[in-house]
Amino acid sequence: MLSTMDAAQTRYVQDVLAVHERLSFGGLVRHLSERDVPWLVTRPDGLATLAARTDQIPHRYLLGLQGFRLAQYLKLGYASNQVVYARSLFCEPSHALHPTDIHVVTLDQPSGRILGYVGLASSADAEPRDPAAEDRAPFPCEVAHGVNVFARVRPMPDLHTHEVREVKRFVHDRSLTDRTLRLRVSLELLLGLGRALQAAAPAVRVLVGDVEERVALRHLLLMGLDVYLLEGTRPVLPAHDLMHPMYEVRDVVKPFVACAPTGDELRRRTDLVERAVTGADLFAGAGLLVQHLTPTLQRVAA
Amino acid sequence: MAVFQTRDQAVSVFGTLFRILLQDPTFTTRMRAAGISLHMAQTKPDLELYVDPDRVLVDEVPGRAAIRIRMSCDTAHALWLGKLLMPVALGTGKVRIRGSVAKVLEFVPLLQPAFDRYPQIAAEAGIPA
Amino acid sequence: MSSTAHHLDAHDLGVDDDLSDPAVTLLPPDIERLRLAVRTFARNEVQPRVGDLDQAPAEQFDWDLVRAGHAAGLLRLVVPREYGGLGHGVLGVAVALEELAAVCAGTALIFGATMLGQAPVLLSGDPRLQSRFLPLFSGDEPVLACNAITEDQAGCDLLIPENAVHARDVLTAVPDGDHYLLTGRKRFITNAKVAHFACVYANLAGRPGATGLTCFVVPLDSAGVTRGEVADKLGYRACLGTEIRFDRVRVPAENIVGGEGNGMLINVQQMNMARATVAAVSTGVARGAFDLARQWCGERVQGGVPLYRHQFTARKLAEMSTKIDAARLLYLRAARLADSEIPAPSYEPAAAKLFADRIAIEVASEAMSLLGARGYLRGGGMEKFVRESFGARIYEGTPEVLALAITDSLYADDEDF
Repeated sequence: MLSTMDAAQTRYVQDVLAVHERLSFGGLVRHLSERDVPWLVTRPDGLATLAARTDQIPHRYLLGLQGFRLAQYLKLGYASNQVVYARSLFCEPSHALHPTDIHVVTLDQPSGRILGYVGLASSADAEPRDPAAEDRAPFPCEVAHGVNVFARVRPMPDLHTHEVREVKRFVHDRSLTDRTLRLRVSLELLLGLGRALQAAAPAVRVLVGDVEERVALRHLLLMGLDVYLLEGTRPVLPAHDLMHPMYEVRDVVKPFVACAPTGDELRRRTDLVERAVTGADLFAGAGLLVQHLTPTLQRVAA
Repeated sequence: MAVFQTRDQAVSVFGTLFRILLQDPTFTTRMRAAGISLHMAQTKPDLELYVDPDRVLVDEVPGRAAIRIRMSCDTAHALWLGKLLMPVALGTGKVRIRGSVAKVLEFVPLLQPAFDRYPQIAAEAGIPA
Repeated sequence: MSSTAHHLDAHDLGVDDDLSDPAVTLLPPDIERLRLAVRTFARNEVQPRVGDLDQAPAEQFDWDLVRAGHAAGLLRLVVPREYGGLGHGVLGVAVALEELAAVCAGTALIFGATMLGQAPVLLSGDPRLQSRFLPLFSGDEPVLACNAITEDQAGCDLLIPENAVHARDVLTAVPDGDHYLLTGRKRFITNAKVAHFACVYANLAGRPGATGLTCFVVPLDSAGVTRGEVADKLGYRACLGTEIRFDRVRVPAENIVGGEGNGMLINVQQMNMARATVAAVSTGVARGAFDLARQWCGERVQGGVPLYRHQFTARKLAEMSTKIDAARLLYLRAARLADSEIPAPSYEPAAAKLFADRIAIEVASEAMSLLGARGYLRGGGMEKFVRESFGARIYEGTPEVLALAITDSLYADDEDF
């Protein structure tokens, strides 16, 4: 039997989810079509994908994206109902975003419903730093895993933190059950990610983050990335952290460092993804990606 | 009987409360972004607090604060304990606010951590809940 | 262009725009920009539809117009930026509503009534309540709200705290665990037919009068809610006024605004904020009627000269214009004070509405007589302003209620801040 407080908390979370079910954001595409965003495409069937920086997105749409992120993570059990209730949240706090963070969103233009999202978070260092420096700003995945990933992996000697981005919240609308549409959204997000990386300045040379090996890792490999997977960490977030359940409900989650292609190679790979997305057979196209891209995976002790 | 027996008690409790709030970078960032400064004129016992994102001043008001609030210390105590709701306090004239109403509406949700901490701060100063 | 428009030209004089200083009559730059944007919206989106809106069957509702207004931000003017809104205060709302009402008062009320429904949520200071309802207005699809206080047997009785004890058959709220069951009816509620949620005032069972009145936020798709027939009104036909019936509607305790028994406090604060904006609606109606008369009197030639050259006509035009200016100054003063004091004052908003509601009728009536036979024709525009000039006297306080609020203020023992 739920206590009164538990019942109120449950209702609060359900109400927040209901708010986000109701909200639609078809106008975001129109707003961004007037700005110089890294990527914006609307397909004939109404699916639209965009990539834009935090500082390019009108505030209410930014709250909508943060709300989508929170809603899906609540449904996944990765976000804490208790923290959402205690802090009266209706979206992930937008003040935690950096102006140069990149948001890739796929939505159904006619209904305005967000179907998928992935983010590229910038370093919090005001000035570029040596990633191996102990006193530089850690990326969120490093905070959770208690490691400086670059202390164990040094993919390139002259790397600085402004050339590194963390991949965050690669998530679909939980109500998407159609396998084909889910793959389509994944590929559109990867395409948007690729085009955003093409436009990034300074160029993004390394991606970090953390993944469940049997789930999100395959997306990284689908992009043909050279991935270093760090083994042996014990990720944990404090109980007051909104996302502390992420490391309690999932299988083993491992931090990664991945070399991002740049220049012509990045363009080649992104074009391959685009051909897969726009081809007649989506699954065949995705299969071809695996054939043409040669990802690598190395395991490194943390 | 008044809740605060001495002015020093009241200064200690309310000064500590706002100093704790200012230790939270999220709170100060949002206070700064909204351009909020606060002038609390409390009575019985009389004291004035000035709060901006950088400091808490007692009986020193360096300039016109964005939000100016007047209430008795007993009312403040009841508010922070959650025994008196702000809409009721305002509606009955126990609390009066001058300044930008829009800023006040932005500011109130930021105070949630203070509500959680106040009972302990008051107890440590010998003020019963 | 109204002859009064020159007062609203945007200047940046480096004046300290202290909103509490009623002597400052120039609008702050952001409010002036808002005013111009809403004027453009009214001209481009509302004006072409005015005839259809007025002559359509009572139950017809123009969602396309509402969608356009929502895209212009009119449904989230007072929603704080933190929740995806524009963060304007009473001043912004009032200025926007005057611009809308100068074209169509009913359209102004669609947006005004939504803000009235948002007001208790804002006044609650309850971040969870705000997080559950205010973000609804941040998406691309319009969401409407309403404020449900009036009943069949209780109109002014629920606006005057001392009268509340005389209110009969008021909607009741019966506690049921961590919920309340609402039973009863509300009448003449603007937007009720089309709103997503309502702020509903009910008496706790066994607690009649002001001390038991409690404000609940009620989603109108809740089981037990029935929206009645749309009232066929003389004016304000663009918006819908409807009865709502509550049959043991189950509302969670966390939907109470300001705690049990504090509904009258919320209502009074809400009214004091809203009256300045309703005064702006009346000012807009007067201005709309005056603009038609002014144009006619500049074009129509009788006795060899335009009408305005005749002394009696000139006198009428001068009186009308001056009354509109005065009404505007009164509502601007009230709005500025409401934006700089909590609780909002009661005298200035009541005074602004009392004056504006009266001059709206006077100006519209005079304007119609200046147009002669043309003013009396349906579809000519003027008779619509005359019909709508009577509307604002009815809601948010009749002249009688306002007089009581004003005299209460005159004789109140007000502690100096």
